[in-house]
Amino acid sequence: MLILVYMSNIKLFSKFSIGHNYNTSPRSKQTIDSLWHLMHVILDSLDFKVVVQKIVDSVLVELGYMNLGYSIVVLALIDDETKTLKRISISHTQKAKEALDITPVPFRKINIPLSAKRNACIQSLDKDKVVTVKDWSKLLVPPYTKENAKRIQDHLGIKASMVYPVHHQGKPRGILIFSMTKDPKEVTAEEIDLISGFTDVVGLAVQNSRLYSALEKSSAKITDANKRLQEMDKQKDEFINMAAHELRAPMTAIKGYISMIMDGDAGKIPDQAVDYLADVMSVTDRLVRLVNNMLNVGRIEEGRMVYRSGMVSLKDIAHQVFVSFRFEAERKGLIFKVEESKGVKDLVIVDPDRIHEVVGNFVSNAVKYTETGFVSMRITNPQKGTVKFEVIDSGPGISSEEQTKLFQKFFRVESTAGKTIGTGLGLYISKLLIEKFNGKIGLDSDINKGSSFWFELPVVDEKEAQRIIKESEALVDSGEIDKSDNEDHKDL
Amino acid sequence: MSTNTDPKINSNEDVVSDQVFSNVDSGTTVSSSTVGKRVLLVEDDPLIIKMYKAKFVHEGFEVLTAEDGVTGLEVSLNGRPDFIVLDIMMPQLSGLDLLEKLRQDPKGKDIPVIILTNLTEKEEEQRAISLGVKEYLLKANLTPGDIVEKVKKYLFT
Repeated sequence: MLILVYMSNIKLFSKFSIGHNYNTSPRSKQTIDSLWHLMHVILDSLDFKVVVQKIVDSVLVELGYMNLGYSIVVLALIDDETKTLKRISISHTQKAKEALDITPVPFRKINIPLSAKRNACIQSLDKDKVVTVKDWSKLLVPPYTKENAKRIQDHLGIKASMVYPVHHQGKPRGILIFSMTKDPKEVTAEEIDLISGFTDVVGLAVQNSRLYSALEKSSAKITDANKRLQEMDKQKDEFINMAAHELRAPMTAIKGYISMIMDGDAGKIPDQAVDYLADVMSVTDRLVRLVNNMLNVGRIEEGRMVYRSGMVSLKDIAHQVFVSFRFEAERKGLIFKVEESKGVKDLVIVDPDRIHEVVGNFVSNAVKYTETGFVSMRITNPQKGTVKFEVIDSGPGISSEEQTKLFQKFFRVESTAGKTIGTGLGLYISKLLIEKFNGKIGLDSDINKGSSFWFELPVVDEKEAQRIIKESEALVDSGEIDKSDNEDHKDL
Repeated sequence: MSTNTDPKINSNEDVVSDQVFSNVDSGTTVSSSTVGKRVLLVEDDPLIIKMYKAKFVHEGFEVLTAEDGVTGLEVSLNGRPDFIVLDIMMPQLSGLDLLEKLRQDPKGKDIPVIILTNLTEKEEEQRAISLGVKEYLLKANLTPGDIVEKVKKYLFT
């Protein structure tokens, strides 16, 4: 942005120096040098307060070199909110200091209403031209009284003031007041050229620094908001952890007692009762999974999850998951089975609990959304060194459009959202986990043709697996899997 | 306190052991492998401890129970358990603090321990692993039957 302003200033500057039919006398060359100097001094800063002070001081320095009798420079800008012309900065000069000492209205409170049409400052803005006044009452009433204005002017020995409009984007947005100890007739063409060139630069500098300071303010606000968000996020995490812990206690008891009754620990119960209890068990398990997913998603995303690596047989996992969904699948009249071809290599190095969750999420979805037909788990080796775990169902299938979004956080398939409980986290978490274990995840599906959700993992042989596990008893997450682990997998 | 704290012999030695030994039950179902094996359950939720105790007793274990960390430590050191199933969030002394003290004591340093909690905080899990627990298990994920199987696995294989 700064560069842009520089460039537009250079354009403006060349327009000024060429367009004004300049003769190349030594004086005008000095004027041009002064303008260049002013521009650099002002555009060197971006902070609004610094820029506005530099504006009033540096022009006086440049004019002062010429010994031209300028003693006070004031910058005032339009305030759109209060519809007034507000004093912004005043030069650090002796006369200015005297003026500030005796003014009946504090400098910062010299606000002229835009409706004060008889005031010379407002006239300069309205007519967009230079106004010269010999009587300060025209400059300062209101808010001064006529008498006060005259008294101060006499005290300071100011003979006249020139009011220049300051433009931005073609409109007057403020004024610069040059107060002199000489008669306006003594002002030369070169001085006018310098001042008018300067006021154009001022317009840009003011706007530029205003934008910058506004930007800084909002940046500070954003930083502050971000800090508060982080605090809230922490509180949210603590709350979720606590809530999860409290939800799990009753679920533990429900699940535990039901399992014991079903095991016959309390004596024989009718088959019908076992059937009902199996349903209670499956919904309780669903609740447990729900709480686990809600709790785990943040951990996995932020790398706060503890992973333990172990050698896992995917066949074993399939059978464990089979047992926990058997009743629910049977109740729905589904054919539910594990297909495994002979000699299939199924050993992988993963966190056993986490891979159990992934398979659980797949099977849970398949059983939940399939009304008739089958749900089947299949383990194959599509190529050497890879094991593929598929959960195939004869359910409603998923359109290709929805397939692309399926592994996104909180996404739920349109036709089923609202009909069943779910958070839209299961597949998202599964994807994060499988990728964490150096695998691939995906699905093949079509509307009315069922679905196959699958993941592929690098397969290991037993000897190699034991070596790897020995090397890293507990794989603790640091956001990424260690490089050494990756290399281990590649070696296999 | 004396190390000779067989509940069947010294049931009135002092207050702590009195409390501890009153909690001992023998299994009703005779299972040759579990008879005489003593499991200590440290868990502050009375409903849940009642449930696990019922299952372990049903499976033929002798069961000791403690409903807070301080009692849990006393029983761990003086009740001669073969195995400890330990919760984490408990009044007075947390399960992990109990475990740390247990590991510093010659009487307790070799007792196999499973953490059974509904807390899944990374820090707790790492600390438990570093204190040499057999497993860190989530209560809500498992049935009492699953836990008995785990304990049997570590005791008999």
